[in-house]
Amino acid sequence: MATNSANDLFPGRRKILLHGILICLSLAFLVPIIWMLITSLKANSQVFTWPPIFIPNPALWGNYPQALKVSNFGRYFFNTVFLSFWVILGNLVSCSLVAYGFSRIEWKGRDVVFIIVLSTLILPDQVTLVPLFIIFRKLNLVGGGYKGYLPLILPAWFGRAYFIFMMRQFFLGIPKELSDAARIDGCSDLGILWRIILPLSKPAMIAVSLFTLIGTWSDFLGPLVYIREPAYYTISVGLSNFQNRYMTQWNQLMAAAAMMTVPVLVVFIFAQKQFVQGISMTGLK
Amino acid sequence: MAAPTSVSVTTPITRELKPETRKLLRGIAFISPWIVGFLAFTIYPLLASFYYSFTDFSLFGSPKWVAVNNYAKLFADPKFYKSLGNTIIFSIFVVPASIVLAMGLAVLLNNKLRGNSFYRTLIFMPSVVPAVASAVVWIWILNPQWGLLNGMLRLLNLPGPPWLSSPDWAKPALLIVTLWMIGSDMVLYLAGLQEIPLDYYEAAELDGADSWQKTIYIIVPLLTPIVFFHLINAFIWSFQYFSIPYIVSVQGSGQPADSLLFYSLYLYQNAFAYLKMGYASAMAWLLFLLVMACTVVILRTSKRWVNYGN
Repeated sequence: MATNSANDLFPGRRKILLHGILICLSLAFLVPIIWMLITSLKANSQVFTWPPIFIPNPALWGNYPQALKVSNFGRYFFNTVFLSFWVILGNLVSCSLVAYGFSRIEWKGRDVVFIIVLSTLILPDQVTLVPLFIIFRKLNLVGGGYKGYLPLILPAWFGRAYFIFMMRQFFLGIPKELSDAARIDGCSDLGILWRIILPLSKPAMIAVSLFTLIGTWSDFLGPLVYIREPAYYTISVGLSNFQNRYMTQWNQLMAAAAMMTVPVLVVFIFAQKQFVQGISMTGLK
Repeated sequence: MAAPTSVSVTTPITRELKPETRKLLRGIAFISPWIVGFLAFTIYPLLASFYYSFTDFSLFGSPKWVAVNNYAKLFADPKFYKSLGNTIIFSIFVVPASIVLAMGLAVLLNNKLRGNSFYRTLIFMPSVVPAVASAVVWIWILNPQWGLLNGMLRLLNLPGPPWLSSPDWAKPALLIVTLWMIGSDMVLYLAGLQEIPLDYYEAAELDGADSWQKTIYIIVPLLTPIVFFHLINAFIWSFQYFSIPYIVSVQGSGQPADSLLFYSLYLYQNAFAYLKMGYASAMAWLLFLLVMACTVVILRTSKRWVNYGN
């Protein structure tokens, strides 16, 4: 008789071995983050020592305001939040409309067009980068002020293939009867999307928002190309610049990196389930 | 069709259409944002870069037709070959390594174990750390003299390599940084593992299979659809790997000794440092063809090794 844990590869006492392996592995993954935090609290004299100092004494919290002061990080932080907001909103609006068209309406040729959507996923950004830059420059959207964000925001309002795919997968799982009933009651497509589909699709919408947030926060190439005025830098470009100028100020540099990383980690820890669901949604078939 | 003369409040035209056509129109209406975006942000740039690739264009003035000159120059440009070679060598290492690591971690984390979700969180976490921040942190950890990694190696009496400051060690260093962020790929495999029906394991157990045999004969074959998906993704991704090589190679220079000059970095340099838009477009088109070819090859061979569980 097979046990109920036949998929358990480490039965009985071998669990201890598995714990051992996993503790070592997770430490290896965690150490760089911890080391960043430790270094960010050190005085410069404690940074270059061997053996290393693991508990900075005294903890120099002043590195954080110092890093903020020399690199205008507060401003970059605000810029990135502002940019992320418009990109997330764009993705949610456009991808839910498009995903509705690909999942809740049956029209001729739908699946062929959907394959075209998916095929754009294999197109590297670098292929379209130069002509897009040239157009946005002609439209006078590259350079100063917040209008320099438009080249980064606009594409989000026209549907991202990856998120269209994710939301479509989710919409397909919502029973057809629900929208049929609403249609009999005289609900339009937009009404069905707004009143029935979207309220049931919160996990997908949260996943899209999280992925977009992390993506925008981490994006470097886009802001590097389109944003030319230092006051409008995003946090990625800001950190890159800071690193270039203060290459050996490891404590402040780590403080700056921590300020960029910690908000994302906090969001991630609270929303881990949605993350994992989101990735799983796109992985299969 | 006669012009509608009715005074109905709903639009008379849609009324007279067949249900099929009305559905088509509704469908198209909903996907229209994507259609506009596809034309403006994919098709047009693709065609435009094809045109630019035959011109000399520095952003100032207008593009000057030079026929296949850019391509001819590219094929005689040692830096182009260097960047292509770097990218290929790196992906030959990073793609299999990430498949093995992501799958291995997922298999380990799929067991019934107290604290499992805790381990998962820790291993997943680095994959959400913003690219520039991870690059900066790793430059510090890989510092040959004061870095944490070489310090630990010294503790084990091993020589610490010069990592990012040596042309031989820069790619292995980048490989470590890249594999550190494997978490999101691991999740794909975890999702795949959850799809494997329990009876498969039970049947294997009845046949007396041990854990190792279960892994090799059940888990790995049933995960091949995910490997397939991951393989295509990873290849494309390795051809556009940009942020981390840019930061760790000193502001996108590809140093030391061009060992980190990846395809996307060289393309970026041509476009935005030297303003050779035509030349960069030629590179972009070659990249496009290369990615297409890779995808087709993987798709073609997939029937032979991907198991869809029938």
